[in-house]
Amino acid sequence: MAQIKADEITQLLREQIANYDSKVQVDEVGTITSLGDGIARLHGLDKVMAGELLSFPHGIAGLALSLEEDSVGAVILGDYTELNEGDEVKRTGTILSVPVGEGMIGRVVNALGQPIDDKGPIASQSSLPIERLAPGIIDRQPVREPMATGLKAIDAMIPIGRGQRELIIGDRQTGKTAVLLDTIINNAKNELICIYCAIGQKRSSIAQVVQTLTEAGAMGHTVIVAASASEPAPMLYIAPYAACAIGEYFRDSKRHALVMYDDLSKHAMAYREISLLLRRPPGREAYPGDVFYLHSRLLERASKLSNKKGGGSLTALPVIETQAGDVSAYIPTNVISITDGQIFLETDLFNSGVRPAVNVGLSVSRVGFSAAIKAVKQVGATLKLDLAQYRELAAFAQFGSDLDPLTQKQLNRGARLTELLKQPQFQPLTWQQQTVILFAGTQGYLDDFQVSDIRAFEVGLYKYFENAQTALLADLTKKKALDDDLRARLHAALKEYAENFKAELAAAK
Amino acid sequence: MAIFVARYARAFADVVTQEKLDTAALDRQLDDFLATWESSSELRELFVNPAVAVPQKIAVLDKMNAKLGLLKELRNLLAVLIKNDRIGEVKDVAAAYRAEMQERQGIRPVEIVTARELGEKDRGALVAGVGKLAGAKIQASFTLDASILGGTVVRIGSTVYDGSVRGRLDRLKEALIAG
Repeated sequence: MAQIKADEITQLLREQIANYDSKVQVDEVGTITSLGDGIARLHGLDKVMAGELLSFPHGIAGLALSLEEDSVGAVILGDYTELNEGDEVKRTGTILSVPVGEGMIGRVVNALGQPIDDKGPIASQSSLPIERLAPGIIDRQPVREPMATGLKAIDAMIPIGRGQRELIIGDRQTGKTAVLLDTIINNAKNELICIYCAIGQKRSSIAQVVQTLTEAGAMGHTVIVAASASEPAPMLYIAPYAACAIGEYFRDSKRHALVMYDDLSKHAMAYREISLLLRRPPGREAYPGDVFYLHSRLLERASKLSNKKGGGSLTALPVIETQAGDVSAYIPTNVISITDGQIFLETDLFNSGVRPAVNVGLSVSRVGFSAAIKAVKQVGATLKLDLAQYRELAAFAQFGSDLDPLTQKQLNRGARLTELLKQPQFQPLTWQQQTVILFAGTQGYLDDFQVSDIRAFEVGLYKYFENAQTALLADLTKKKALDDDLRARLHAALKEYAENFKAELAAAK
Repeated sequence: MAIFVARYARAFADVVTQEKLDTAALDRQLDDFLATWESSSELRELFVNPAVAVPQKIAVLDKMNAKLGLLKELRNLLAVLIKNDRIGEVKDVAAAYRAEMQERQGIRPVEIVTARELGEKDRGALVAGVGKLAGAKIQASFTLDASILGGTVVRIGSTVYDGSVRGRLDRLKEALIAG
């Protein structure tokens, strides 16, 4: 590196000072009339626009959120304890933007896009405003490509497509974040850039997420936008919009991105806090009137773009935490109605060992089926029907009367299929593996085994197919659908494996 | 300033313009009343006290009016303020009314900050220049502030034209740090 001498620096500075633009600076200013709770009321700023970025002293930024006849209400993004009443506030004429680009990948940033990991500054050339209009109808096309989560229970029965918005809803401690992390880990090889937006979570939980993803080698395609519980409400409010803008960069550059908002109930609470402090009238559950628009404008930005626009996609997986399973509260019903389906996670299922704790009966995907891989769809459709019948029968069978053999058989099958849908954390499956195991389950190859042996059966089955049936897997990968030939070969292979497994079990005893 | 202040001021300004009242006389009378209001704490206490009945307060106002000789409209404004229990803010209403009238006449208040006291000639030139900039008649108020070092800072409404040495140095500092 060439050394720079001290007098050269002086020279540089002298030039800069000599050529410095000495024109009059024109600013639109206002003064702070009152301050507190992260909210400032300003006098002046006649021409300020809603949502405009304001510049407070000491380099603190703010957002003009409510414009009234003779005052402006602004939220302060940063430490407001340094500000005083009477301080001057300047207009900037811009909307709040975050840096976007390749440099963001693998980083942990705050809601303003500033790095909060220890990897130095972010090399990013461009930035995008956090509030952008969602693509119009002409710019979109239907969702057709699968967005695999690697979870049998979801991919086979509630498939998600690229560009879809699928809500993940459940009480606390039901594995909502685990589903998201599994999805991120599963997509390391699928050229899908994942943006995980943590809203109002504990810093320790966020650190845990980063740690898990790093260990799983999944930070190479992931951006984490974190607004922790210790940050002021405005940061929580803008975090999902910032995450969405970061995702939109990849969508608009013809790639596929997935953005996860964990979780939007905390986001709504942060917005409620801001709104109440700005003295907007409270509505149901004290949320302001525009809380629906708050989430709809965010989730509408998820889209599959038309080929003319490059064909990129942005999938959204918002998370809502319910209280005691109450999905008819205000925010859950709002977000359910905005999204293209929901995945219900239930405490009872979780505690009885069904993990992921997906309630298959209540979960739906409104657009994903046309996106799913045909082979998975074929086995998934039978599975869904079988499970629905099982649940109905299981409710009756609780009365404990004698059951005819057909019913017995259906109950047996159901218990095994339920067991089959369990999946350990951070072990995503490929769609080929899912097809094979679910085919085995729906075609009754599990009926002869004890429920407790199913896990071992599954693990062995993947090994067996990988080692002994590579040709079959290759054909399946090529055709992507089950035809008569593949079915026959699958039956043959499964028959062989089931016999081997039976012999193994006998030998173990 | 409370939100109702602007409403009273605007309504009064409407009346004044509609009835084509003598604004200079009104201004003087308003000053007279405000001087009385300021100097007499008894008057303020009486008018603000909610325990005193409104007709009684208005009777006092009319007795005062015999001496002050207020225009009918101004007397009515004060009566309405008393009746609506807003008389406590009469000073703000008066200030807002004056600002409103200036705006209607196309006169904009301008605040000019200089580092040194200016001569009559310089002031005239500055006011003319600022008037051209604002595109309106201006009412300039000059203040001294040595901390801006040199140059001037002109404030028209919420727009600030910063031509001070201090401002330039601050901007240079920012540019050097950013660069």
